[in-house]
Amino acid sequence: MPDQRLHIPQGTEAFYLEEAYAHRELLRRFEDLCSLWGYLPVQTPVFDFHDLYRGLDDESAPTTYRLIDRDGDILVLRSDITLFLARQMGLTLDSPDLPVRVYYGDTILRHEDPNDLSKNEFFQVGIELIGGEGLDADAEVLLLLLDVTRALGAEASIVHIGSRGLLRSANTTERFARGVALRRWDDVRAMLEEDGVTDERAWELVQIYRFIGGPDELRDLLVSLRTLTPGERQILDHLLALSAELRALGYTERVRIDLSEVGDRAYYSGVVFHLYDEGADAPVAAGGRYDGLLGHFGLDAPSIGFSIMLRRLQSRLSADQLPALPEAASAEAASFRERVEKARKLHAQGKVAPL
Amino acid sequence: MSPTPSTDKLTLALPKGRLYERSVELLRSCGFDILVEDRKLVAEDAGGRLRVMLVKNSDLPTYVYHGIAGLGVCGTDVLYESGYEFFRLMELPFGRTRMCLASRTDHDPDTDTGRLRVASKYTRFARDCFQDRGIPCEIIRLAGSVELAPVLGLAPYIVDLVETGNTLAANNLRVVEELADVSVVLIANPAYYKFHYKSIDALVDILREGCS
Repeated sequence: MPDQRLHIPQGTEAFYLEEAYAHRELLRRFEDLCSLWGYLPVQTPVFDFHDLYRGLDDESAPTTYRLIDRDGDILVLRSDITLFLARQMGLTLDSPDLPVRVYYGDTILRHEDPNDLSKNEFFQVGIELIGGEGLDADAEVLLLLLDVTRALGAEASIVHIGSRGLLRSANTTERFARGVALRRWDDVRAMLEEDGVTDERAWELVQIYRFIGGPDELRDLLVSLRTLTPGERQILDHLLALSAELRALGYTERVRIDLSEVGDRAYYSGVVFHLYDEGADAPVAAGGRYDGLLGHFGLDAPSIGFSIMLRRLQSRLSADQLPALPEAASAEAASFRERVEKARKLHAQGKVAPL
Repeated sequence: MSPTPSTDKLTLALPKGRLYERSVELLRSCGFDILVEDRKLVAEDAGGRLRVMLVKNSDLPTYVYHGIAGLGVCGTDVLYESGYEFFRLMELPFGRTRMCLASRTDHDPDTDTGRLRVASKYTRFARDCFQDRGIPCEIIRLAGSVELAPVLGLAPYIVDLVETGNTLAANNLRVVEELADVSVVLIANPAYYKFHYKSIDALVDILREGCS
């Protein structure tokens, strides 16, 4: 048997000393900002009954860890905080409590392919605005995402906003969603044709799905399209208004409309988005609206939120943006009490002073 | 600070071997002057628009997946084996071939009993291919010279790339069935594409023009 002291099991991670220090600083900045915007902390349980989540996120089921408790029930370890949080909020909230703003910072546990251990998705921070609907709620969550990532050193990151709603009028299968998300236009067109969609409409839908750009470019495209339904136009108008709101708040360069963003979870229902950053090999943050999710757990309320893979931002803050690391205590001869006295004076000035 | 992704230098991984020569030829015909000096594995085009890195063919998807290179030139056979998902930006006009099931010319399929025994470098593809058809199959992984497997009696069948068929014929083998077309594609790490989409779309337009 290989020496287990040299390995950690797949699906978990630990970090230490300077790395943990930087991580805590990011976490602190995130929490401070969320608190300023009136969000309250929540903590989700580490495991829950597996059957409660059946059908909600079957795509990621192969990566979850499951176990059997002493009563014979199948449990699942926390692999998606949004799902676990929806269940907790469904249990504890009533409609008159809404809207409720919460934030979290938790580890998740998933099996990762042995070839794919570097994604570092094991620690997520995020927020949820439960009971918030309409343009203002969508804009609030996106604004907070842009503010938070700026505070965490990713001030040049860009959010790509799309809508799950655009799938619903074409084809809602995960296969179709995947084709759009992976920008496989030949496959998408073939699936639309299988569904009996006319050539003209299939062509126009592909033009829509492949769009990335600003509001003016989208408006130009929309002028030339003839087969869009009123429902689709309404969704696109909503994205244009959302984009305009965020631009008016100073985020012109950090917001793009991207209609191949359709959400990588079946529970999304409206606006969806990913945040991309220079040098990151995968999205730094993901989120969207999931209006039907809480209803699954007994609370009929709309909800929108995001998660940030905090470890992907670990290197964004330079050393001088982080608090100084504790230095070794001075070697000057002094009694323990004198050293405590001196340290307390420094602490009062907000300085780090070990004994 | 405002992002200016459209002016960034793009990173492109090229596979060592014959696909490298064809890729550089295409890039040169499109105005990208790439020169990788002997024993060096990284180069930039003279115009400063592309940073090219030379990697082993089978490792190329790994480099692109982890964002070391944002773009890559890769065969769909290698992509399939990697299991990673990328954006496929365009098919390149070279390297087309076929993934085939082959056996000895004197092999009688009626003698196949139970699980099909197949030797291949492309174990993921072979496993999925037979699984999709509901054919029980035992896959034996080989690193190279797959044609030897039926000749030496390791397995009656192989799944391998077949271009001209000359290697098969030289080993007294024949194609039983063509399983898939294989092409060479320009791929992008999805997050890299999203961040740099304008520069990448411009590159694809130039390459498409060069291919036409």
